[in-house]
Amino acid sequence: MDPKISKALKIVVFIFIIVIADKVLGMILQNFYFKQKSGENHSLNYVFSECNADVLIFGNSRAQHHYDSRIISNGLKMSCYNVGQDGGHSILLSFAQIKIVLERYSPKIIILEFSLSGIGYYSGLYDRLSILLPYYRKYPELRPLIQLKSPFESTKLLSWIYPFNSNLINIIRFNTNYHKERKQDYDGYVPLKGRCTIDMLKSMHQGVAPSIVDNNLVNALENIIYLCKAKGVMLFIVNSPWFTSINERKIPLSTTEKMTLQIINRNQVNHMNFSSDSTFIGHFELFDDLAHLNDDGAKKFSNMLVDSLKSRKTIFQKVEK
Amino acid sequence: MAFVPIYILILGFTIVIDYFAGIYIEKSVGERRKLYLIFSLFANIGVLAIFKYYNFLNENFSTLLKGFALHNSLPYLNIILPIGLSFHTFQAMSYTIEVYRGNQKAERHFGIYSLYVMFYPQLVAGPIERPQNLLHQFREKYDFEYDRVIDGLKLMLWGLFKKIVIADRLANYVNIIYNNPEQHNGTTFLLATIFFAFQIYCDFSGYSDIAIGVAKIMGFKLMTNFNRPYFAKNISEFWKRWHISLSTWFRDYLYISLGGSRVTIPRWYLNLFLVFLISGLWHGANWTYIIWGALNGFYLVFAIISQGFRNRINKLTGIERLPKLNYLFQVLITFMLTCFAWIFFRANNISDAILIVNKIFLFSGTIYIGDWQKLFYCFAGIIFLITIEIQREFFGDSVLPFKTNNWFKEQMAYATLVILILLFGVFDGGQFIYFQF
Repeated sequence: MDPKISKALKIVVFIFIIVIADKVLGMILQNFYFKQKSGENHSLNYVFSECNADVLIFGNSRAQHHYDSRIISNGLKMSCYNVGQDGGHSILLSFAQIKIVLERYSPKIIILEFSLSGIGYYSGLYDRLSILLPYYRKYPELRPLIQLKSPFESTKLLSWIYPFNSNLINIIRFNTNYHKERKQDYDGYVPLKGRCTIDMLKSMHQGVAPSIVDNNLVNALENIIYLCKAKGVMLFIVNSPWFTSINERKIPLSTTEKMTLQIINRNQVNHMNFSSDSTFIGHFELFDDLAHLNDDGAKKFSNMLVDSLKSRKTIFQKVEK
Repeated sequence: MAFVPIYILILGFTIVIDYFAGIYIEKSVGERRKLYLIFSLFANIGVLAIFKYYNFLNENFSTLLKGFALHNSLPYLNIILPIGLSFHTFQAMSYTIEVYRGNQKAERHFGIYSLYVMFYPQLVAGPIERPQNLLHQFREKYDFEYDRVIDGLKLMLWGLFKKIVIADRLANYVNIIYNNPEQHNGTTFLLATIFFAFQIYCDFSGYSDIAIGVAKIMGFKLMTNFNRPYFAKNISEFWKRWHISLSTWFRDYLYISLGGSRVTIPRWYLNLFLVFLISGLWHGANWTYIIWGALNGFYLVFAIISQGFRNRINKLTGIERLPKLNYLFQVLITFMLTCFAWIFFRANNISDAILIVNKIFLFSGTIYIGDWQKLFYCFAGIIFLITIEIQREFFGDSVLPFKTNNWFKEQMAYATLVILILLFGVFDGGQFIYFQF
């Protein structure tokens, strides 16, 4: 054979091997990804395709660990599911989740755990959209959001394996009996069992609220409000307790905080701020760390939230109808 | 560290100075030659001093004056360190020094000389080339060569694997631990330090492989920068295997200029120590780098001083009769010494470094796991790397991993590498560590 043709053939064979391996492995991973029996990915799959709860809770790890679905469900006499995700996720993820859910059904209430500075840009903000990569092919409506991750995202997503990058072990784990070893959740609520210590307080970095407003985050917040209104879903934006008030009670408010309040007020959204609640501030026994309530704290907070929701009678009557 | 377009002028400045300096050095005789060389070195070191060291020196000067209750009124400069400044400055200096020494003819073609300084694969993080190796290559014509291009691509792929599958994965863990020194215990720091040793190796050697691979595709041959350094039996050998282009730069242009080993024994020790101290300072304007350099200098001097004693110990213990065990022991000791020095290299400041060292020597507490899935990937990456490196160190001498005579096997190995990158690579990882130098 002509050496030139032979070399060209070798290149073609090499590329062919990679393309086939990528597609086959990617499809296997995809299949098992959507078959997971537990874990955070399962929780996301469940909400996207099966969940019919009346009350849905969205947000980051503070949502996942602060809102006890059982207490909210019993208190409001409605089914409840907590969709909160660990990993410092932004409102972009909540927007993606709410968008997909509302296309399938309309829950009665959506509780969005959201800090007033949550529209501020921070480093690594868009990297965290990785969690949506497995849904790129299944939910084309998420593509514009996923493409915010990087200018090359659509090129990377030509690969079938890439959406499941760094997920192999979890996919295996949550498809086998090992999934039982994970932290147990109660309708998405994952209780934390630790106790905050004085050492954690000593080593706390004095956090400064992000000061640069990110327009994509602003759009996400406004779109959530718009979608809920359009679908007749009662939206509550809640800021759950912090160990210290440093994160939320700065005077004067930062640009991001002022703007969030403007958006909330302009759209007349129900806003409940527990960030400075004296029941929680400084109470080591109610926190797992400085940002997260433990199970005792979460129970206390969930009861307070239920009482607070019930006290808004006029709103509630609308929902019950 | 940043890329600021206006900073191209700095590069332009040193290029123009060194281009003319080279020509005038060659044309001149006697003291004038030296004068032109000094002028060129002064310009290059001056740029480094202003952009990299001025604020550091100023800060330390202020601290010193405070000790005498005096005030330093020198202003701080609001400047950002240009990306890769130390690399291309050193490459430019090697040109004028070699012209001065008569080892290299002055380059008359301004474009070719500019290319020597700005050759893009190695502009920002080396290898720091010598004019004798690189300049003549720019005059040669290269045709497309299938095997060369494929080898270059393979080297790039291996470099990419080391960077995004191993280095960036380890970085996630190391950064969490080293950026919160008060919150973690000694055992965790021990693990994070070992991880950092592999992170920095994979990060920097990964970049070098990519740079050498890119150059190779275009037909250029750059010098080897890493030669499996963690298999070194002693610190001296480690520096012959680690960042070879910088080690040889310091050897050729500083150590030998100071007299090398052809001086009195105390002066020889001082020369060795000074070279490493300056090498530390080259890495960054921070006391952590200076201490890292000083530690390496100390290791080297101590190794020479204690050679006789160590030989006697070896004889007494009889370990010499077990060469494999002796080798393993030496490699482990060298690795541990290197890791100890890396603590200072990685720590954010001296007080953090001291805290970390104290904690490590207490060796208490359970290891911080975080996301155990990611920790598993860290270990798997290191084991994979060590397996490949053992194979290359002891059973083959190829520049490329997975070299076999079976074409299909080799292709499958590289295809697997691509799949592993897609499966386990960290695609949101940071810059190469050495870009900041």
